[in-house]
Amino acid sequence: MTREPSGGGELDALKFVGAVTASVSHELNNVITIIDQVGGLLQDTLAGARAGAPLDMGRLQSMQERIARQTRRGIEIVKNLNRFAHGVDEPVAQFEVNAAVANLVSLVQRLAELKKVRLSVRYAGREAYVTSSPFRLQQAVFHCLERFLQCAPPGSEIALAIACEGSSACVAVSGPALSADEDWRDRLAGVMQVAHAPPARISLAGGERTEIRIEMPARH
Amino acid sequence: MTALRVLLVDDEKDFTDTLAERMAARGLQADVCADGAEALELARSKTYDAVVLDLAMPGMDGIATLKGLLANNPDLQVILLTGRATLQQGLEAIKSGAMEFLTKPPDIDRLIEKISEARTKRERLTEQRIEKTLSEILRTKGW
Repeated sequence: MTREPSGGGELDALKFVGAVTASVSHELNNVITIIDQVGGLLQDTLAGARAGAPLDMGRLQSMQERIARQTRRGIEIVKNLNRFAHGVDEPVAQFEVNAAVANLVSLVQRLAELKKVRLSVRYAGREAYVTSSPFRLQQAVFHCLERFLQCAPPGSEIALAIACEGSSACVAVSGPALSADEDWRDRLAGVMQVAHAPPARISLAGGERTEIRIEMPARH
Repeated sequence: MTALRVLLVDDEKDFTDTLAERMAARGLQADVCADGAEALELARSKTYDAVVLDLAMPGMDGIATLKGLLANNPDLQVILLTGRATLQQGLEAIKSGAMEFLTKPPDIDRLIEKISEARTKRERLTEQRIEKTLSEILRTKGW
């Protein structure tokens, strides 16, 4: 069933950005905390060495590996956040759907992990370019994820699938059956209402699992 | 005095491993685990002066783990660690029975100070419990 768009709210957009940055900042803080502690351990080790204790090269190696691992993790997190932040550089842009969804998933994966819900993504077999707002698409997908996470039990799965179907690019989000009222579907349609961009279609199919589809005209 | 015994609970393995090493260098005995369920099992089988517990963990979060730990052992002292330092969270943690609420990254010396306080507090609570039990026994016997 499709609905006419009714306008996306600024507050929803701000809450979306807040949720993403809260999750990311939590992860970054974990990275910093670990590097801080390894730095402290190194300091302890050096103090011991100055007092005459032999240096254990194996332990030093382990410390170096922890720092390297967390630094790589931190770099990845910042890169993903930066990519997300630039999603609003232009109100309307041509962008690649697989990359936009991958970016969002990288930023919110931890929210699903905290609930012990598996988040799986099947990407389209080829690149899918659309003209719209990458930020709005990410926001719409996020709202779907958020809704599923509210009721998905631990051990369940939320699946994202990106496909090129004829002249459309489609992002489908499916998860445990949920009841979505008209207000929620209108809200989602409103998020995808982007001025000067071809209109997107939102459809919802129920059953044992609920599937929400966001279809946008593709550009090849 | 025996070494302070602590259980570190956090899903970030690099964090718990590093913290455990730093504590060992300072004479503490630290066990580590990655989730609430494992923490409950370990706390049932071993005696700890304190549990240092991350608030945000997959599955059973810090508050749920805290409640489970205290249900099994009301005298156990739990120090919650979090990246977020909101007053509301701090109050909820204390209301749920946590001894202390610290932010990440923790200062190791302050953390060890709190673990030492935890031992004193736990021993005092255990003594009070024993005294109360003894008094009740004596009272029932009419002494």
